[in-house]
Amino acid sequence: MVRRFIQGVLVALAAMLIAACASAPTPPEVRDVSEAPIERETTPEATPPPSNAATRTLLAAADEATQNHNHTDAVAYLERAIRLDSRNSDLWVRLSSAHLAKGEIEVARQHARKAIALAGSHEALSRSAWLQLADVEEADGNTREARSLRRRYRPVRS
Amino acid sequence: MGSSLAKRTPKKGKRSKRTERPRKSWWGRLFRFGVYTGFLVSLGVAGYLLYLDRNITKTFEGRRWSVPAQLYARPTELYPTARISLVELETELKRLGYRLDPNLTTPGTFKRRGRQLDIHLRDFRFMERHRSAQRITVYFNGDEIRQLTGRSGDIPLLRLDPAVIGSFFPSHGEDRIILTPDEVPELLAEGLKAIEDRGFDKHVGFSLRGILRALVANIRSGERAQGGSTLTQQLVKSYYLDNRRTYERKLQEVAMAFILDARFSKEDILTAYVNEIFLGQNGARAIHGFGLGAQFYFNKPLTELDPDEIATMISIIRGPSFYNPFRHPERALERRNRILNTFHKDGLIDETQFNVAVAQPIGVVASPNSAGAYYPAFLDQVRAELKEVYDSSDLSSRGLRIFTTIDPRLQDDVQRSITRTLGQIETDRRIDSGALQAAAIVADTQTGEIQALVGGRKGRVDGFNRALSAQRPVGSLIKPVVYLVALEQGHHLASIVKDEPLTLTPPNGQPWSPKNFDGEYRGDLPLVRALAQSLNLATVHLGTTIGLDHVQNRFADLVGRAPRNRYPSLLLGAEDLSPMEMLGLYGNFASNGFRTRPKAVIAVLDERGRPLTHHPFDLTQTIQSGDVAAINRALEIVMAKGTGRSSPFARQGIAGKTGTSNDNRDSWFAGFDNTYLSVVWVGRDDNEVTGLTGASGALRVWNNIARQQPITPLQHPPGPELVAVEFDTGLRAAPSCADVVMIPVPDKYELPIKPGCGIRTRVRDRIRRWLGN
Repeated sequence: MVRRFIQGVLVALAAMLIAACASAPTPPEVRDVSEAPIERETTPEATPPPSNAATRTLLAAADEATQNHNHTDAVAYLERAIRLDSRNSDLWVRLSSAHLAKGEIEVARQHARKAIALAGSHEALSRSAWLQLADVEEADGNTREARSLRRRYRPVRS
Repeated sequence: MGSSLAKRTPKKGKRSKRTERPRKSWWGRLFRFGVYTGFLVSLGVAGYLLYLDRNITKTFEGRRWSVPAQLYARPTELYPTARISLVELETELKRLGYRLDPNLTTPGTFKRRGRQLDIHLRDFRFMERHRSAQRITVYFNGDEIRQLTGRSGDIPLLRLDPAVIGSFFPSHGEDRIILTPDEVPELLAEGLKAIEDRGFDKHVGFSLRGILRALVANIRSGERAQGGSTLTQQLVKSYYLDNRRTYERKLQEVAMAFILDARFSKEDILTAYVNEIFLGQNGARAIHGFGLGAQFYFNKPLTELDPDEIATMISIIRGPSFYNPFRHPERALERRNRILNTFHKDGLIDETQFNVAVAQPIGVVASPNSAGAYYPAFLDQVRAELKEVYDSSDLSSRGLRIFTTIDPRLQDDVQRSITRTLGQIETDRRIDSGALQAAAIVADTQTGEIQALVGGRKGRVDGFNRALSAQRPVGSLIKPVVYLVALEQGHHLASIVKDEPLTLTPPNGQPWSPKNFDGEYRGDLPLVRALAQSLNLATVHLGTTIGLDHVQNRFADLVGRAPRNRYPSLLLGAEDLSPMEMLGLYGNFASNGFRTRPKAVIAVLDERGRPLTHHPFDLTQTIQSGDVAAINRALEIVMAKGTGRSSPFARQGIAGKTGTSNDNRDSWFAGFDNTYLSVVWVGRDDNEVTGLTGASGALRVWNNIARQQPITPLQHPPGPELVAVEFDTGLRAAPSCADVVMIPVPDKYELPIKPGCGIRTRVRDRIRRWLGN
């Protein structure tokens, strides 16, 4: 009986202590997510891979084709760039835009979604991909959806 | 009635008067008969000539531009940092028919100087632009390109000309590359005349003297041996594919040659001959014309042939089988040298050229199949993609230029890996030699472009295309679909599932009691382990929890068709798919959640290079990014700790899954790194037991493919952090603990902690869990 009482007091004291600790600043947590030694480390890309000179050349050629209203060639250049760097979210945004200029709305929509998926949580890339989707939605007559996306992903003015 | 009688009467009278005239002489009658007969015969001959004229003119015009579609491979891209070594580029150039020449005299040549290659590129009309012939230098740094330079400085990016990988010749098998008069080398034109028809420039399509000479020779020998044909007659003969030697046919041939000569210029006729003449047979494919002949025998364009090579090709005309340089090199060499001698005597080549040429070996490529590239299994896929837009006559006659996605280097590597590995497996396991078959497809993970497609053990042979047509039970390769549905319903990779015996009795069905591969069961375990170890019982438990109908629906979304099996055995892969359909399924995972249609065609251009159809990347989002990231992580763990761990590449950033059908009949592997998604199937055509699991069959093939292609470890798009959990139990643990895996979970603080593993939990999380409990 006495033992149970003591146990009860101890539990109450412990609870008070816990409550006090809980309101105190959180102590630095032991890192339990770090370089896992048992497996290959997968490092999420913090920034997009820098576009190399080859890709830049193709982007310039695509821009020139677009200026000349030759959207078929622009698509061909951008697809070639994607063959060199197929996980580059920005290239998919550009390709979506070229398809949109050709009037291929559904292709443009899916390519914009692809760009969003590849951007992951990278803020700038993700924003650019969502704004491209907004352009596609607007071209497809979904003005409200486009406006909503733009409001959400509009670049922050500094 | 009466009036007509009245009118006739005087005529009768006239006739009677005529009969009274003195009879014409016998000579007169003969003359008249001769005139009438001559007129009728002339009329008949004129009619016949008119018929022949229409016939031969139509054929000539039709054949002149009847060009089978040409198919091009994906070209090799050269740019600083591109991963290609000097030796690899040299091999690639040789594959394209480039040859060593210290002076880089003509396009299609290269030379090596220390750690750099000088290349004289050929001109080529690509999809979006024409690239002129030019000289470039490529500098290397280890296994990659350091710099590219041309006449005007650094070049950021450049393509080699793409390999021609075949053509869609018509069903009668004639294949050709059409040349314009400007593209026919002078030595070939003059050489043909010197050897085959000296009077070509003067005669009227046939040579009376030649025919008489042949006639005399035939009468003397008592058989019809000599033809005395001019080039024009040979052309006519070639059009009608008729080798009967009759006098009627000869007469017709002469008449047609006469008409052709009257209607068309000598240059047109000679060009048509150069494009038409039969030069050899390769399986079902008949090699017609010198353009294709140059590719077939020497693997280079006609314009790049040397005098000895031109002489070899002219020597073949007389008997493509008798003078076949692959089968009878000595015979062909002897005739080639006689022809070179004539060239020299006629002044077509000078003394030096003659001496150089005659000293050359016969110089054809190693075998008929090593000339250029021919990938019938891949062509099946191209044909399938194009059949909705083009009919077969478009493909066989309109001179279309089809740009495709195949990488010939990778294709050859995959084919070689299959052939070698199947041989090794048969030896190791004492399986009858040649009993095993296989198929494999390799595609880009993000675009779905097919870069290699092997339909059987023997490449370059038309036959049953297992990659597209073999429908086989997929076994455990289906399991990621079940786990994906679980994730989408709120489970995570550390959620617990039971691996215990169970019996299911579907309505109107037999009781079904699945078992694990080893007959054991393991109790409670996390999803990640159940998938990695491919545990059947855990998967069926999970499937019944989440609902079979949901799995069926997701299968349909991801594959593009509903499953045929409506029973729970679907959960363990009792469903037939072709390797191509499997590629489609795993494309959803490899592409970060998009159903990415595997494709082989990039664009189709008309004969003038104008785009007809462009085939964009075809993708539709099917899986949310968080769910696909989790599945891909689990598939990496399959390789690192599960059924794929026997692969030497298992821990290098590969995601994959092995599969085995009932009684070890089918062995599957599907896997991907950052660049390539591969599907491999190994089994027997007669569906007999092979004794192979996914790991001991298909995975071994994939290992050998991976040995030849550097792995590019998977990179995941930026996303939520990974949490360390114990593989066996799913308990949260410190990364330094034994046997942990890193997985994404929605809330790591929800996970129970492995005791004694160095993790201190936050107090508020403890309270939260305590209150939750």
